[in-house]
Amino acid sequence: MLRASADANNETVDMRGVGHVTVESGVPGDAELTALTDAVVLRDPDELDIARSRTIDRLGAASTVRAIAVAANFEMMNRLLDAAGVGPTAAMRPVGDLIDVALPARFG
Amino acid sequence: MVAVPAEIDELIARRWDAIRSPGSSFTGAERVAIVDSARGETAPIISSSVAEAARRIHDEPATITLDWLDGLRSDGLTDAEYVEVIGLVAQVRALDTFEVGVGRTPRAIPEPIDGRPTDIEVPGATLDRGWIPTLGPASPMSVLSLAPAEHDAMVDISEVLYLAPRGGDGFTMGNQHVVRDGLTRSQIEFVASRTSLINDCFF
Repeated sequence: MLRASADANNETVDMRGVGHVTVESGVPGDAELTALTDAVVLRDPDELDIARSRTIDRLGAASTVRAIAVAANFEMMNRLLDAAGVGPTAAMRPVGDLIDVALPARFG
Repeated sequence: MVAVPAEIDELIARRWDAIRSPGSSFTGAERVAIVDSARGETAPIISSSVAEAARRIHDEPATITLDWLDGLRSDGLTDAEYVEVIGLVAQVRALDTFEVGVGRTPRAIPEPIDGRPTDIEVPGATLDRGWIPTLGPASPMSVLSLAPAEHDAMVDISEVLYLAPRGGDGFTMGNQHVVRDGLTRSQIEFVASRTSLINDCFF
């Protein structure tokens, strides 16, 4: 979906930035969003206060809350799919190469 | 703590009211116990297989295998029960993650509402790409086919926290140019991708 949205908006995005914090994705605020998402999903209270504050400084309070909401939504979606045995389709499998992260062995 | 839009607070209240109500296979008391178990508490009124499913889906979803699910089935867990557990636990994970993310404490387990499960039957569901029967190929929009109320809850949460699964205008997944609360579609999808990566989910 990130690739599709970037293409639709004529944005240049380096997908490797999703998986590697040292790679600039080209998405505005990616460093702050990465730190915020990690802290939210991993429920790291020490990092969370810092990451939330930095994201507010960079993107504003409303966008920060929306980013937290999106992460929360995908906490749900990921569980629905994993628990039901729904892995990536053949068309989705290149995503691992795009973000430069190996697909888990369970996806063959 | 940051200000939370009213629509999200209304969603959270609405969903907790549904969680504590009778479902398709479980009573309100059992559903509340499933949530309790997912959060790591002991919940004696549900079976050990239901409690195990709740905990695993909540804490280690990427480690779930068909062999593990088949083990629960041989212990007596039905597919309809399993699907309701998936829906419940996934919802609660979303609601709790949001509350923690904005600096609040997750809601306390609520008092259940009395009543019988609906025992609804879903004719036509078959195994198609997934491990549980679905109406059509297993996908985000069909995995909860056996528990229609949990499917509706998933759509409700997606519409308010992320984007509506259907449609092409406004706050919908079909709108690639959507901006929500100042967050562009690419920023939204960046967060979605990062979340899925942390969770080892590559759909």
